[in-house]
Amino acid sequence: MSSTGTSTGTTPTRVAVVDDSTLFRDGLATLLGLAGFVVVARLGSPAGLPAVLRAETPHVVVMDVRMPPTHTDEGIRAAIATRAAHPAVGVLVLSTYAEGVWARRLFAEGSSRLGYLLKDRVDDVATLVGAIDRVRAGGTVVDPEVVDRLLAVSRRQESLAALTPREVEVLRLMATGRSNEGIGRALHLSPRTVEAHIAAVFTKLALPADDNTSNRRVLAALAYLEASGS
Amino acid sequence: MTAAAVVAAKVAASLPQLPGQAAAVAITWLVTGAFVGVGVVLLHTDVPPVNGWACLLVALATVPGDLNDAAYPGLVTAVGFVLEPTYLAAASALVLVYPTSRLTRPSRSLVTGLLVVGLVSRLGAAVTTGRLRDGFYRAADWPAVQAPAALHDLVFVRIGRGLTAALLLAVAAVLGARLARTRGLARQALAPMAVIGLVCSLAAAVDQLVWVVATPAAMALPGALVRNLSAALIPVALIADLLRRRAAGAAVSDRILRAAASGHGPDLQQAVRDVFVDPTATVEYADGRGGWLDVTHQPVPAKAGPPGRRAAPVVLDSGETALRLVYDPRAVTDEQLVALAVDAVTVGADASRLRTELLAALTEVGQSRTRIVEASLAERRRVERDLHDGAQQQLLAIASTLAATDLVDDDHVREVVGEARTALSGAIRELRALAHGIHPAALSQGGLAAALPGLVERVPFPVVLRVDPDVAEAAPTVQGAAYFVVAELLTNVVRHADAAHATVTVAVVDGTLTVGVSDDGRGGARFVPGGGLSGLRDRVNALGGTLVLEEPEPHRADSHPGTTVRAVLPAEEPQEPEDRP
Repeated sequence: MSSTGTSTGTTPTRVAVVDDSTLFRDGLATLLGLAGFVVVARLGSPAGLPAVLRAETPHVVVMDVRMPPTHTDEGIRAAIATRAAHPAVGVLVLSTYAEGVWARRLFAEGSSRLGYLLKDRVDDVATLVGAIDRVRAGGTVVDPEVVDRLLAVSRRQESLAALTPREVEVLRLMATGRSNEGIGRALHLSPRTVEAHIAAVFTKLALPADDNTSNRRVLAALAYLEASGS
Repeated sequence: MTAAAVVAAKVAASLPQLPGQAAAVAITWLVTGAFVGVGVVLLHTDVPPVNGWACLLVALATVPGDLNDAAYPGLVTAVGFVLEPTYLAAASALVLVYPTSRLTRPSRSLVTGLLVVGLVSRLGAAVTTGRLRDGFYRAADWPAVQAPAALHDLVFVRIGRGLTAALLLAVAAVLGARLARTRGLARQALAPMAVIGLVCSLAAAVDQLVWVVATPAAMALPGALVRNLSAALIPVALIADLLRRRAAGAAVSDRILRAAASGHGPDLQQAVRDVFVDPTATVEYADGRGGWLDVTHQPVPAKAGPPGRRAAPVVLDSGETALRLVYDPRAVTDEQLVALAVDAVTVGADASRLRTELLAALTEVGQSRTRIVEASLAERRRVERDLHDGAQQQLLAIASTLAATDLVDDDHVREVVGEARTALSGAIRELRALAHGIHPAALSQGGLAAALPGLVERVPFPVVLRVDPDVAEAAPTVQGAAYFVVAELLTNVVRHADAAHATVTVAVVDGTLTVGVSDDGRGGARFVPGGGLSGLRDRVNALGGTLVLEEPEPHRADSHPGTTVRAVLPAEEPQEPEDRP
């Protein structure tokens, strides 16, 4: 596979990597460099991030969740703070665990230029590059496993009981940020059928179906999951 | 032996008088017998033997007077006459020595005086003659020293008897003063003996004075009778006091022991005051720095309370002087009673301390059980973090390095590395599941409410989750413990219940966190020693909670009656109990 890091912009994507594990940080930086990104900074904790954001003007910050000093949710808090201070900078959170509680907090204030991926995805260059590109472009990325988890839990709580299995599948793909076309490809359905399913989901979940942007759809799905998941 | 000899001597000596003066003889027998009897009793009890021997001595001293009788030869009569005053000296000594075992110096002087004056005046009277009666039965052939009659009448009868009377009055005065000086229990103990001794010595003094006055009217006074009758009461007073001491001893053992064992200082002090009949008595506790604290834990000033108070230290089994009894020595003269009280306090205080130590040990066991459970939670967090920061990040780093082969235009390399990447990806997933099972990150982050969905989602059949939002108010440790209770119960359901559905409920009510897991499986869960459910119950108990296994309803006696297990935990972390004073 050829370098894809510049596919979404005319300039190479400038990336800052923040992770307290030196081994992982360097491995990821090397991979991103090979994939065509310009790694402008490697940080062991979010403490130095504001200075890097001003001096190096990265397009995207790729960030771990559990980092010093408390090793709990530093990455989530730093991601929210970064978005507030630099709305043009995208943040892709890489987490060892797919925790719904973190995802909900991350997307609580909006979802554009935000992503939440399992660290496992570093295994797949295409997914990783695609996620960074999408976040830089203003989109949203949610790891399928996180969506699965949220949906599964919601189903356990009988709040998605009204949906048919096919509709749940459509909702799951929609929540990961896929377009109708993408959903149709994944499920071998025609776009028209997909639209029908989405309309049914929105109706059953009492969500307005008038906006078709993937961003709003993810937001809507997450907002729903957030409301039902706690 | 001694007692029998004394009785035999008395009976033998007085036998000649019996035909004529049966009543008088009977009284003297009564007196002697009483002293002998009480002497024997006292010799066979644990009170100081001095009183017992003194009683026998007094009994023996009643014998010589009986020999002063016409029935005996002249010399025998004279010896009896001369030795008769030993009775007064011995009885006075007995009364004065009581209740201790030693005579004070004034008392010793009085007893010696009675003996010397009595013997000298009787000897003088016996060897001289005069007009005044002296009570000596002179044999017809009794020789007399040629001396002026005034010597016999004035010196040996009037002055001799007068001095004896004065000494007896002094004895009465000493007894009266002693009674006035004592307080409380000591007065109670002394009073019978002192009063009887007082009456007895006054009567004896009167009996002496009639010889001084020597008029027929005076001679008719019943001094000797009163003396003898009251003398007979002396042994009665001794016995009464012995019984009282016994009762007081029992009261001490019972009352003080119970008060001391209660460990309640004011109770113990009141018990000591009651037993000592000393309202000023106090119980003081060592403060460990050489000072003393009263029962309200206030320091005792060095010069506290009435002057001249005495302190009896209480030395516990451990060898430490933990407390002391402070009392008025005028109120408590009975050192045996003090020793008894100290013994009772020692035993009681040891018992109280044992109980306190046992309570402390039990509390400590409970706390250490809680700490063990809490430590295991902390250990889970630590192991998970080690996995997360170590192995998991290393494997992920390798995964990212190997992923670079995606960018290499060499199918062969990608194929070779591809297998390794597949295996690595499986290892990462397994390790993540393992770390999550040890301690889910969501539990540290969002507590029980955040962590339970991730747990429920791993169960291979539908689980309904009902979580009271108030659960966030429960202590983190309690939420953590509740999480692993639910995890273990769900594992049991998956492994053993053959269930199709389960329900997990979490509720916070009145300061308790209740987690319940119900299933529609085959039921039959039981607490088996060493079994998983018993171990779970132990851990819940260690946190001050209870685990209840609910029996299936009777009408659901089908093949799948279901099982419900409920754990109730205090929502707050166990508090360290306050230090007991």
